Amino acid sequence: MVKRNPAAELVIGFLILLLIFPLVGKNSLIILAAYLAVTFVVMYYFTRDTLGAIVIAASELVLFLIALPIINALELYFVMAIEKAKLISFWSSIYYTLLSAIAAGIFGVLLAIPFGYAYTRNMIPYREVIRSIVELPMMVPHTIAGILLLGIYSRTGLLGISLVDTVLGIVIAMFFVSMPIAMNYMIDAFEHVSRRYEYVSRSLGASPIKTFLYVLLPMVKNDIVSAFVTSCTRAISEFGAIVVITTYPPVISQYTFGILTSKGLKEALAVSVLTFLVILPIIVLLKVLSRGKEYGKH
Amino acid sequence: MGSIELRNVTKNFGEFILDNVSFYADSGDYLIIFGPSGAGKSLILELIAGIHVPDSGKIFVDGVDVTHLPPEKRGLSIVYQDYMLFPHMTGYENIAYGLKVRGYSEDEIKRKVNEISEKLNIKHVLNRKPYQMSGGEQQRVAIARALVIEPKALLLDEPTSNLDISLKSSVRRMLREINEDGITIIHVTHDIGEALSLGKNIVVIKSGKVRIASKMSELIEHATKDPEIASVLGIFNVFEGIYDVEDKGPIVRVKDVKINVLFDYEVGEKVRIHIPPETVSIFTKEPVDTSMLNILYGTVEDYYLHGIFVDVYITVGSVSMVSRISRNSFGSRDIKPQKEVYIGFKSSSVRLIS
Repeated sequence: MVKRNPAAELVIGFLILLLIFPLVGKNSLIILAAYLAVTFVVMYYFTRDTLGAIVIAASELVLFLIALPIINALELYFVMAIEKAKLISFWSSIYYTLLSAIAAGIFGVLLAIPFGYAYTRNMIPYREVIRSIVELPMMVPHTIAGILLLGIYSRTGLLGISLVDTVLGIVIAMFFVSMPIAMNYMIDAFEHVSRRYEYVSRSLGASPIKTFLYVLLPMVKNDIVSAFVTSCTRAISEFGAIVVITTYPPVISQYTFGILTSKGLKEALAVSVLTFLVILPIIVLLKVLSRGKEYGKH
Repeated sequence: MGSIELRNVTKNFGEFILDNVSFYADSGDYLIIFGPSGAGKSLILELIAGIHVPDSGKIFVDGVDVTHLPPEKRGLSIVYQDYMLFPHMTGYENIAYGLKVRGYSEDEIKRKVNEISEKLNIKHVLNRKPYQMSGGEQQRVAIARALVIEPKALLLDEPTSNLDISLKSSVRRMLREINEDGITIIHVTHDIGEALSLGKNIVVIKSGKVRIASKMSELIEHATKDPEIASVLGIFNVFEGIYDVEDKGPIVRVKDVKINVLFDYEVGEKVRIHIPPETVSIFTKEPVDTSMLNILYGTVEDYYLHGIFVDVYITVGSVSMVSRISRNSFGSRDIKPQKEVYIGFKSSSVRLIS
């Protein structure tokens, strides 16, 4: 018997099945269970590899849990979503979301670059502790992050400057929860650039500033773009921290939640699909643009 | 231009401590800093380059105290063993970098880069990025980048250790030519062959201390006073014994072994001798009809293959000797540990050291 691995055929078959699930409704669960069983049996029959059979079946389950909600909405609410494109309020919330997320992303990366450099070059005392503090906003529930911010940026807060219901408030909230991501990217980036590049540059006559600008920054260029893209996407998806600070202008996460509570699930699904159709190409484009050659990494 | 001096330099690097290191490289010198692998030799170069500041002691370049000058003000170029070419720049941009940050005009940069590229035969890689160059090309670009700023000295960190054997000799020739042009070179290596073929002077560093600082031609003499260093340098068969004269002629008694020699010395005095291992032959039967006065009976302890040679360690009485023979004769004699053999060498092979 020719030994073959049917994993590819099985997974492609499952992807086709995913497209059918939204049309068959409740029977999906029975079909899912049957297909997983078939996958396991077929994999085992052809490869005699129990582990292979388990991991392929598990991968299909992942696709079901993660991809199906998206496929389901896209398939059933696509037409309704196109209708929603007429809503000016939708576009206005998209505009404020992207504007604030990009501002927060730029702000975050601009500060993450010097922080990451100082961190990796041992210029920060107790650096592990300080890094953990900066990472905290990612760890706590995001409504708490928002409440902490209110303690600073509200009329009764520490600074007495109210950012409630302002775009700047949105930006600060997005920055608070997404900058730690940029920081981790930049720490990782600088950690992978040997200090010897700096030493060579210095011995050739470049000052520390010139070395940073001409040698280090170009070497971590791709990481800077990745840090920006990832923290931007994180900022776009933020809800909890923002909703505590501002309700107006609504960002897209608040806007769709508002539709859900006021107009029900079907309307909310349609707006969600539309959001998906607008945001996804932008993120994909940014990710593609940020993919470049990796330089001098060890 | 280009003398370098370290005076009582001490620096604690944590895992490696440089202890009261002093040495001097005259202008136009080719100074080898020799030490075992992983002994922090690169850190010494970085100290000279100004990347680290000594805890105490002083560093002079051309007689001027530069101990607290930053690297960019010292005019010394460092070249690492993995070259550290800036990966986002072409060969041309890499070489031009030092001139650019020093504010040279475009025309001047172009002229100087072309000149050095011509000399080091790398014109064909000027438009390539480092990842498109071979190891040898990357190295020549790194050396061009270091030389183009006309440094007071070139600091080399194991420059040939990442190259094929076939490239090593051409790199050595290039380094010799650069030095002949009057550029001081300080070259860190753990390869004694490289040290001997290039250096005019040598500093041997072990455990953070200078053990030897001497002319290359006097290295063996110095090394043999320190058996530990002799073995690090790959110098074998250095013995201390008592000189005597018997009926057949002069001898040196090394423990329980008698070695016939040719030189004169004071009877009863301590004497240090060196028998180059390549002059020691191995026989499986007692040789007859030989001009060798020294025929000794011993047991093979062990052997090490390196390249086309084999070092065979033989115990004679209570003395351990090394014979360096070719692979061919190694194979034909069926040498293995515990085998009993005769070794032979001429009296004229025994050199007096002190």
